[in-house]
Amino acid sequence: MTATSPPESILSPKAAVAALLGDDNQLRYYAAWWLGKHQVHEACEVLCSALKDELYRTEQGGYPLRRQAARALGQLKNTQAVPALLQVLNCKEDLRLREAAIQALAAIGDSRAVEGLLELLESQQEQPLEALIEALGTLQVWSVHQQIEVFLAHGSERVQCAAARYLYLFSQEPRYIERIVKNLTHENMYLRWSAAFDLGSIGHLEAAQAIINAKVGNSLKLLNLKRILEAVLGSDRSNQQDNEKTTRLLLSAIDDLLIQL
Amino acid sequence: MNAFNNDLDTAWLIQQLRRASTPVDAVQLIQALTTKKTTVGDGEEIIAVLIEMLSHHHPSVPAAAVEGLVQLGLDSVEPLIAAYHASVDHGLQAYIVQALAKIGDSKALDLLLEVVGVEVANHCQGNVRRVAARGLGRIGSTANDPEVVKGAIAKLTWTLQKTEDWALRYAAVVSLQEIATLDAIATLQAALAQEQDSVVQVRLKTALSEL
Repeated sequence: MTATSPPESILSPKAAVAALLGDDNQLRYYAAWWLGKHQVHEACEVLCSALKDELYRTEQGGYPLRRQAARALGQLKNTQAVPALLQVLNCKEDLRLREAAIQALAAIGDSRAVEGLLELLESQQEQPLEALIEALGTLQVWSVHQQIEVFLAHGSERVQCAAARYLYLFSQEPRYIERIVKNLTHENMYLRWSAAFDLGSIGHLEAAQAIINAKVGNSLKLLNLKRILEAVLGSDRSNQQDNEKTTRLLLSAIDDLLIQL
Repeated sequence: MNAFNNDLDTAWLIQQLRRASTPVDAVQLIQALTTKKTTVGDGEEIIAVLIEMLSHHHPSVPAAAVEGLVQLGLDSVEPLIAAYHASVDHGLQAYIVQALAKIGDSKALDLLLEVVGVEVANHCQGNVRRVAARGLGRIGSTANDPEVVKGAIAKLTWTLQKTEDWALRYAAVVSLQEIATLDAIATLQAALAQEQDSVVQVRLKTALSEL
């Protein structure tokens, strides 16, 4: 969820930090979003403190401000936030908060997160499995690949696709990509989107081809081809010739989509 | 006699198209109408019915109508511009912009300049600005009038320097590469130092290496 119209205008990092430390919960929530969106690194510490906020709770027991602070820290990608985010993983009352923290830890990409994530995987409590499996894939935690294999048969298709993404990143076997591609034509629009995003986070040519051919909206194609290209540009492990070839192909695919609505 | 039959045929096809009960029928009729060699007189009517079809609820129909209007080319430009200004429907306007961008005639310059320049509150409309920016590339690379080329480059330069949407800036890069005048190349070179997005940056480098 993002804030739609600001309750009061926040125009500077200083004003945002002041608002975050104030007592208007709506404004604090918006301030946390603002600090993440503008990647205000000086706010890392106050955002970490907001992860322990007790003042803003929903009737169901959720912590909206904590969740938003976690998302903002994911946007900062500041490794100093890792210990505070790891503590949040123990917050038993709020599944969505754990999910936001997992996503932030994956975005930061610090290996200190691995142990905490593995504890969640072992836990008996309900966990945000889709985010958790995605994070394990992003952090390349391959020691649990056999456990992840089991999730291919999970009751939720989104969890299945997250597992397929992890297993493809681990093994590079095409059959896992095919599992995700299957959902690109799913009758449920949200599953199609989710599949496009799963493919977008895999920096490979096969994933790009699948997205180019998929029946999803043009903006979604552009966004996910961009994500693949970013992954290719940021990768150092595969050989350079392959990367250049993939880059050319992705650029030309993006070029062709520009004039489509 | 031939021309007479031809006219009758066209009128009949137009009537069928207005009454078409399925999107598939409508698309086939649109294709039949646009591939027909028509006399000068009925071109206007074909263009009018194709513009009507841009408001069809099934997305395959407006897509086919856009292709048809692009095939009919220059004759479509003025009716499309008039239809744009006569409408307040963003969906219809988006298809009109796309058709004008694909045709790339300089009569559409002012309209496309305006579309590229408008910050739209509704984020979903960002794609229309992007399409219009590609249209400026076509116009700028084919127009004979230096003022038109200058206008297109100026707006694309602004787009590359001042807008937030990566896809819009990316489209400006591709269009400036297409135009490829010294001014256009200078803009691309200047953007290298400024561009923060890695994907737009790599497209800039590719453009400059190909020029």
